[in-house]
Amino acid sequence: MHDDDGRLERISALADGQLDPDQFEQTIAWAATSQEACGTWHAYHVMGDVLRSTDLADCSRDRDFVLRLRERLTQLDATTMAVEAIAARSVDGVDARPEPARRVPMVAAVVAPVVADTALRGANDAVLRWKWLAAAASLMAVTVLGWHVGSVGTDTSARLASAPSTGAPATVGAAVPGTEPSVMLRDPRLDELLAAHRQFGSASALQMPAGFLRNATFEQPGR
Amino acid sequence: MTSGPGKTDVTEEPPAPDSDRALVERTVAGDQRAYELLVIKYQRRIQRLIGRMVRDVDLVEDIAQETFIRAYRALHQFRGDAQFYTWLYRIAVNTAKKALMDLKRDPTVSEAAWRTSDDEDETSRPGNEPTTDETPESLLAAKEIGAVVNAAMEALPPDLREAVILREIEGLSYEEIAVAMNCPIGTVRSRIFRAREAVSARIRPLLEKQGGKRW
Repeated sequence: MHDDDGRLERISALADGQLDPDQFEQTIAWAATSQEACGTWHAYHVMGDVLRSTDLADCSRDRDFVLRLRERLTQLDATTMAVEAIAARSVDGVDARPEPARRVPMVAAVVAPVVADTALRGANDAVLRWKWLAAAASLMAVTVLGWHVGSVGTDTSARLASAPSTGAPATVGAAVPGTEPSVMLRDPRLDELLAAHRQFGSASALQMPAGFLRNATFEQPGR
Repeated sequence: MTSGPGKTDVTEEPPAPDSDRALVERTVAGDQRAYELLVIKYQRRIQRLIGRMVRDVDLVEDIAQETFIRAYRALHQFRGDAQFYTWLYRIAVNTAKKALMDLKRDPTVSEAAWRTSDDEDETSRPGNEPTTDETPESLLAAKEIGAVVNAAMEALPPDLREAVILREIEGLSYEEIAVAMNCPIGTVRSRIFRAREAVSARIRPLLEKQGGKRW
């Protein structure tokens, strides 16, 4: 009881700003975390307020007010911390700052659902992986095909309207600029397309014989 | 003044740290519960202040909440030039004014929610009528607490009563009270504590009945 009285007396002195400096931190730490200390702090201040003015005697909503504010402040802290974490990443590229001790890493709470979702899908990863690879390969093939077709010539301009026309066979497959065009690796599908082009080789968009327009192929270097 | 058994040791005491400023510093350092101690201390005064501008009790509470949140967010800007309550007071007034302006622009809100300029003069308010949402129970509880505090004060020994009156009503510091009562500062501190304990022992059951025990 004596120890309690000593601590409560320090709460009383704290309320008056009259606490010894060496007891300050300890008393505040206790007052902020102890139910008894908070209740005592509240009662002392109600007493003082009532002595000064009876208008201040209505305390029925005091606790609810503080609890509601606590919730809002906690949310505010979480939001602020998340925003700061994002800003830090965008500026530094890495999280260089250590997080303040009081703050819970709420960014983890944002990331956690994504992580959880990924974990749930882990069982199907093997099947999905192959499907993704197949789709990516198909897409790449179509892209390359389209690129090659686009660089064949202008006599099939209706089908190649979106591709730039160079008038000369592109040195497809040349990885290093300035080198001699190398032999392209044959793709059966490309051969079929080129054959189709040859069939229509004389029928250009000009709708008239245009002998000067050549069927560009990859078998000979362009002139 | 300083002779005799009640010699004061004012000049020997180091200046006591301002508790409000210390709580602000602790809050800025990351202790949200330290800020709650400030809220517990000032919430009634802030709500009374706002209540003079706004009639609706729920609105008063909302504006008071907004005041404390704005203050919390701006705590790092509090330089300590003025008293913390003075700084908080200005935030409350500005927040209430802004809320009033927003209300007046909202056609769905009745004029009963805010006070008119006529209401600002207390003499024009007949019989100090209760605000729209104060319940008879809360009025009764407030009167009961007031009555218990007064009765408990009357029951105090004279030296305890004098010490706490000089502190709470007159606003004297411990040093000044020690001079006025011709006793050491330690005695002043002890008397004030014992007076508070005696009174709070009688009002605490009422406070817990009204609002519960948990903080």
